[in-house]
Amino acid sequence: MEPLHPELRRALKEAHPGLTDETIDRVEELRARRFEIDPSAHPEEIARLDRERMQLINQHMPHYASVAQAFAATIAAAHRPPPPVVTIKRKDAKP
Amino acid sequence: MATSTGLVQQVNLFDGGACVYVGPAPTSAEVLIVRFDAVDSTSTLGFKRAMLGLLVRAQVAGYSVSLNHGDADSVITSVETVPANISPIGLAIHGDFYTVSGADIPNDATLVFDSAALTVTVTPDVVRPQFVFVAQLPSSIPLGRNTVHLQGAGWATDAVPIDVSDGPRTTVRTLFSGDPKSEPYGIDFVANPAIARADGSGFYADPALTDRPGFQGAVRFCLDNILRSTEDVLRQSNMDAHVRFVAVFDATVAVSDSSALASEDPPNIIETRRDKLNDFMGGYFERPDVVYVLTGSTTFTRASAWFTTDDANRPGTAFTYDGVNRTHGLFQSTPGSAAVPTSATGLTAFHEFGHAASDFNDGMVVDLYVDGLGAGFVVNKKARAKSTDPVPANFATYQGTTYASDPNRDSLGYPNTWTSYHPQLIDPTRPNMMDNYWLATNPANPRTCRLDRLTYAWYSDRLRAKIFR
Repeated sequence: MEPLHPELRRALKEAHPGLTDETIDRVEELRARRFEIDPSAHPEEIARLDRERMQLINQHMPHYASVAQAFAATIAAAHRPPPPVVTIKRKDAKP
Repeated sequence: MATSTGLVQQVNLFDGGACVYVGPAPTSAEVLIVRFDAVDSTSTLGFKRAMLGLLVRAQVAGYSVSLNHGDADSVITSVETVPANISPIGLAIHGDFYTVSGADIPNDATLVFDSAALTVTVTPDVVRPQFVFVAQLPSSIPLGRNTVHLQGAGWATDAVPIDVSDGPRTTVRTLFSGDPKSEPYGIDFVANPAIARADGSGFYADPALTDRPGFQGAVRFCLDNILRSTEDVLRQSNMDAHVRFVAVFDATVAVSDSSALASEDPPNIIETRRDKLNDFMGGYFERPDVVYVLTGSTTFTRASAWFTTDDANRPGTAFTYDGVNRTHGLFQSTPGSAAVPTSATGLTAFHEFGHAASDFNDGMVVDLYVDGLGAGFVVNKKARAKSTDPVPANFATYQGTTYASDPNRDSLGYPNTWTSYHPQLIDPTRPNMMDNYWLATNPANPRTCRLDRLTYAWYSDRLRAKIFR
């Protein structure tokens, strides 16, 4: 899973006064853990991790989705790839 | 015996044979003939017809031929095509992907399209020694017959004829064919048709299928990320020259359970539905080892990956890790997969590959930016009993070689509550690419992050086993 961008961490803390790094890290750990479990073999374990994670998010970071969306839009706009470099020369053009 | 070489300018059929004009231009061509004689055996006639068929195809396609004939006559006795040292992969279509394969292509190579009126030079998006790749063929290249060649400083390839069209763009595009065998190691990129709602209430269309330029840009990002970042685990010894790369964009696919290759994971994670991938890709006659599911979601924008499940019923390559015998399965029963937004940046595509290409049962490569360790065999993370215990000097023994631990998590440092620890980094000045690469400094470029020494060795063997299976 993509790591949490430090700017998104900062934005989450700004949007949720009192939010601690420990809570964010716990949510991150629960998220990372779910992807280490085979979903076809242990779906109930994934569901348990998801419940705990969502409980923490709902309690401490109710605006998580909107903050993350705004952050993602900013990052995407800042990293648009440059257009390809193309040079065109007419064959009858003088050098 | 004499040999005449050049383009086939004209083929004129007559009773009992054909006149073939060969040379650099219609006005400076030699005239040779294919003659069907009454005394020719069935097999000789068949051979001559095949020669004539080849000459007609060479004329239409614009390829050079070498014709052998007698010293004192013009009767063609055999035909050879003149091989070029590059090969365009697939049709040249405005706005579509375009790849040209070759050998020892330098980093500064450009694509040069020559037509009667224009010379158009295009800087490729990705250059590797075995191919150059353009995410969208520029529409400034004239339609119809062009030649294309590659050139760099003091270097140029042969020019080969191509016909440029303005569409339609392809549904399944082979970007590079990899090894010529039935099951080459494959990495596919698919525009996700539909997303499954997290609450199980159904599916909805993924915006990826209405943004083809966005999809093609994301494929460019992924290829560049995995093949041209500082970490070379996939491209070392030119291993990637044996890997098949395919892109699938099928705007005709309807929203359904079977076409929803990604699922919401609130509040912002997108994940693949790994159990759907083999059936879906099989519909295009592909069975990749790793699938990038590219999504246009603007709500679920955080990438994730599921490990591969190797096929335990097919051959494998044995290895030992901390004295335990294990196996790199050579084939997948469920492919590794990554759900990646088309807006992804940084080292995201390569980081997710780092998860996806590892295996649920015989070696997971996990995230290093969180503490804790779940069940199962993890390659790149271990845990101490207590956070106050010192990090052991040695991390693990792999294939008889002992690999050191990273006692300090180098540039980042282990939080004092953590029990987990990592193997020694290749480059201690920046985070592991499986750690938080956004924290890279000097330069602040996530793409300079590398793996640790142990995971690099493990992945080198695993990828080599699979790629050369």
